[in-house]
Amino acid sequence: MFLEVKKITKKFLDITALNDVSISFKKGEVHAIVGENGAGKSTLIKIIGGIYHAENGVILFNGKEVKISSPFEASKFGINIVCQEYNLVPNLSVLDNIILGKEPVGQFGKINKAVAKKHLEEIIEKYALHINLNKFAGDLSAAEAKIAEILKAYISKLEILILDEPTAALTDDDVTSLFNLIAILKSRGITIIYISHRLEEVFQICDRVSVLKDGFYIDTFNTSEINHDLLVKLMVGRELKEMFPARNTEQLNTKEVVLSVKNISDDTHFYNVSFDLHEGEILGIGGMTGHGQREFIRSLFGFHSLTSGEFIFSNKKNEINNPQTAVKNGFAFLSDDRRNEGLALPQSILRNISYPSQDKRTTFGIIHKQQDRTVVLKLVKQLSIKLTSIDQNVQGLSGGNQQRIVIAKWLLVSPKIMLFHEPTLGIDVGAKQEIYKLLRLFTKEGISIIMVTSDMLELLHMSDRICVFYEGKIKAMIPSCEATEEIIMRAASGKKIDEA
Amino acid sequence: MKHNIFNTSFTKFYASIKSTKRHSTKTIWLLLLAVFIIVSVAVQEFMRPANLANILIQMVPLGIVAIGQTIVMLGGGIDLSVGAQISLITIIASSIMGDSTLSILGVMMLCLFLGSFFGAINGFILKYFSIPPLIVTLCSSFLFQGIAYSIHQTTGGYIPSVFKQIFTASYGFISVPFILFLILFLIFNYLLKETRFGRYIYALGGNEEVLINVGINSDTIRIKTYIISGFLCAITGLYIAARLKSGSAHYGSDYALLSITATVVGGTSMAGGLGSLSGTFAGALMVSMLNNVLNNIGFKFNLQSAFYKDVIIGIILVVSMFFYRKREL
Amino acid sequence: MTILQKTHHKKYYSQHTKSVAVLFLVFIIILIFSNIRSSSTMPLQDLFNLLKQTAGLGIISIGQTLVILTGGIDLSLGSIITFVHVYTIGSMNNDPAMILPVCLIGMLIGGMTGLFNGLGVAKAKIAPFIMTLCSDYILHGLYMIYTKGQPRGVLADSFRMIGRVRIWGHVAVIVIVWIVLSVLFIFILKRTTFGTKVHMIGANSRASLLSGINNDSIIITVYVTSGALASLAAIILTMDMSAASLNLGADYSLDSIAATVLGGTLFVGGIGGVEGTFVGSLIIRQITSLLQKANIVNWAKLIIQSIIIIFIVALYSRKTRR
Repeated sequence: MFLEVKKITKKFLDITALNDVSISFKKGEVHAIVGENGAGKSTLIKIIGGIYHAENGVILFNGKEVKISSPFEASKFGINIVCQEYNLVPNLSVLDNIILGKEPVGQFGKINKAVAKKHLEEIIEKYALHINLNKFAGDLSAAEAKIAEILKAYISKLEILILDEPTAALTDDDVTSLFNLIAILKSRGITIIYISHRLEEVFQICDRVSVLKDGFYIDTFNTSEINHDLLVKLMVGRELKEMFPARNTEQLNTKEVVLSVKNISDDTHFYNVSFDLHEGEILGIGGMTGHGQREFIRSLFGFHSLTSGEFIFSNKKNEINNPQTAVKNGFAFLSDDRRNEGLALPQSILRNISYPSQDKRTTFGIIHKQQDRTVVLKLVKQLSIKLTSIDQNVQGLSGGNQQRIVIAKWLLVSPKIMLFHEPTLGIDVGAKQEIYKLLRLFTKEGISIIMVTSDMLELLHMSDRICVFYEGKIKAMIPSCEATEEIIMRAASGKKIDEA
Repeated sequence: MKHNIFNTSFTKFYASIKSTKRHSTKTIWLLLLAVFIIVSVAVQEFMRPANLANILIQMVPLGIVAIGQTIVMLGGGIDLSVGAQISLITIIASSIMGDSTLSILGVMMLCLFLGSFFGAINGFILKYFSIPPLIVTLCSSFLFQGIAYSIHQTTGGYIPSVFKQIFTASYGFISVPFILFLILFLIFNYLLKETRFGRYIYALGGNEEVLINVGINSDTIRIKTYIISGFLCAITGLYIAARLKSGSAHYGSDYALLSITATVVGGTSMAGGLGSLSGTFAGALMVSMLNNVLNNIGFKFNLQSAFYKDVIIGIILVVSMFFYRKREL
Repeated sequence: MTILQKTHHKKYYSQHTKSVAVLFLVFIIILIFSNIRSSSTMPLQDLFNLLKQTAGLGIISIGQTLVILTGGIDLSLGSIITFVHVYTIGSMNNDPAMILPVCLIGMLIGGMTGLFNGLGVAKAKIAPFIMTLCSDYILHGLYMIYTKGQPRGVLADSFRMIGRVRIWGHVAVIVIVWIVLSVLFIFILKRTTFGTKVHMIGANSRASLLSGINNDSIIITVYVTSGALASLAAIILTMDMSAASLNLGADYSLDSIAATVLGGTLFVGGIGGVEGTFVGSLIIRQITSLLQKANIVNWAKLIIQSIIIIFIVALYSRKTRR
């Protein structure tokens, strides 16, 4: 076996992300790892790539045990990883980024860019990659950034290339180029570890596929010997009914419109977005990452400037220019980046939950301590937040618990419209179920939810309506009864849904 | 539709995807030219050749320190201890320099070494303790200032005349100090733009984690930027000691703020990663020019220009920070 | 600023109280040490003197603590003090009727500077140290222009009398003011929503903004308070002086930072409080006295304080790499 991970266990605080996982990878194969969000795929490859360290288990490379303590160490073994997160230096050009650390030098230490540039331009032409070497990395689109990172890995010493959701942000042409590249690498005997939610891709280019579920290793199959449905069953392994609570049966169209968005644009990331949001509705926003969803949802919260358009809510035209106004008008915003935008980690759970609404529990600005604590404790119980004391720091809690604290915080502000950006990112499967239950509960109480998510199952099964973004515009607005994964994927790639 | 410009620091992931607005150095030099024209029309005394030549000499200490400050800031740091380092070097130099060539050269070498050493102190504290550069260099500035006072409370010391003569020699618009500055500028500009080390400094300020992932020791790069700053402070200190033929714990006082002003006005971002030495050159000229103008006006109207200068420099810096605040990585 | 560190913030909530207790012990030890060294026969009187001498720093440090809690720093305090001081002496002209107007304008000077600082930090998003450093320079220029380098003036006698009042024969007015203000601000920080918001903005200003908090108004208030407290301290300190001094404010910026940091308030995380600063101020003042006696105060104080600050900050944060 070329690369083997044996009995890998990885814990994050109170959650076990990987439990005794052992997988073997062959030389020159394209090996997929599949599983739901939270199954442990990214964690596993980050351990192989040196970004995380496992508590238990070993990695064997060519039969010998190796210690991979950093991404640089990994690259010395020829293991290169392209993560989902952005990993470029924004103020350097693409060329500079790709050759960073391995610049060819000439006299007086002068970097010989011409040589590197020529070499790269040959590769770009060969694979028809859409990337401009002179552009600054900070100006790239999500697709271009991904290609740049792949190129960076490509020109390194390469024995194993790990790709985490590489196609999530790529156009169809880019995907074709990528697959050509992978085919060439394979012919050179390079192993590719490929994580993707798009099972058609797995069947298209991968030789074998391993399934992870809830942090456990299930099995590995030759892609020729298994089919789509069986794979999904192994991945999810539970009735969708268990995972996702039943929808509300009422007709949402008849309910009151709580928010009317008319032609809003920021002229850079999204254009002419319009829709009506009904009371108690969950509007899911999908599409490939980087097509304007992020900026859009932040603009609803007054946190990203608009150049035109308006929103109407509470029957009045309103201008929301900052988060404070948004909150006063009943909006809540739960960011995809909890640690930096949702929580104050060094502070206590009590404060984190209480502070935006604390004015309600004061007289002349002085806090009613007892009332404050009681209110927070009640919420902690309701949301089943696992903690030792509400005075402990938020820092030490798991993703699922942290998200519940953010939700608790917002509940105390009595929002009418909750804006979620990746509601279950970085949350284990058990906690996810509970959060889905909470979301349904909120809608029963009349709260409307807009949720941007890249998790297809979440999008399909939690939304009442699905809105798919493509290049900053709404490509499709589909009621949940009509939505299927294929339809959404088509819209996300810019194709008309009714095209043959 | 009202615009809401939300501008505090972004989470790393999307900060990097946002557009990298860069002020090209052309803008700053054009601005400098514009100010120059306005001033030359408004203040007659300004255009006298002797005065202009003087500006080129006056900008040298600021220019040299600002080179170091820019390099540190490009790496995402800041060096508030530059002023104190300069003062300390002037005191050390004026305390031990003798008349012999050996002494002069020896003391110069020693000072250059000490300046680098002080910079290294800053760098190593940053490496081993997770304290923001602001605090570290604020404290080290007090430390160096204290050491300076402990040696010499008043202005004094001895600098051999020949030392002064060499470092202040000038002929028309050409002067030894300005040439010194130009040489340093060219060397460090080349370093930043053409070498790997220069790239790594920009990367350090832009996204340190990426730099670490490609196997470069980011701490070492950072320490080196502070050593460069300290080294350049030492050169400045030696120059000031030569020019004023003495040493004092106060000689360096304004340089922390002024070097930051020149750097920021020259287009370097305080967040790191964006900027250039050519911009800083323009910034240093701008500050020196304004300084010169204020002195001229003050002399004309018999005012204590030194005090007005403080007020105006302070306002200029606030205004430049305000103007540049939309810049983001 | 880019700060790439991952720090472990353990249960700081209780750790802060522990650290203040430890600090108090340190203070007692230093007191005892000084007492033995000076072989003084009136320890209680010495203590009252210490309190009186510390009061000015104590009041100013309260403002600095508030600013640092929000994640900022105020380097303009020294110039505010000097300016208000020379203005008070320079404008009173030995006229009792001028006392109130002069004091009010003095407070206004500090408050306006604080407003300027606050607006720069909150609205113009200028880094606090640059903003306050600039204010420091601007004020320095302004008061030098005002005094033309030679501060002069005469205080009204009644004004100076206030400075001489002693409660119970020993406790000076300024000490009472300091203690009252400290208790007030300890209460505000712990028991009011304003206080909670101050801590939360310091802990994560972005999350705070995104939770609907009006960060700007809190930040501006904090800087205005800091400026106003500095003015107040300057006025009270001036009561006790016969001649103007351009050096009055010189040490206060650094000293207030040292007192705050020593008191357990961190530069990040919104952690800390005025109770620690109270003890921290006493310790800094006592160290200053000891150095004055040894006649090495000018330089030794700078060196010692810078080391203390670095040491304490290093102690409270630990660097962890992945």
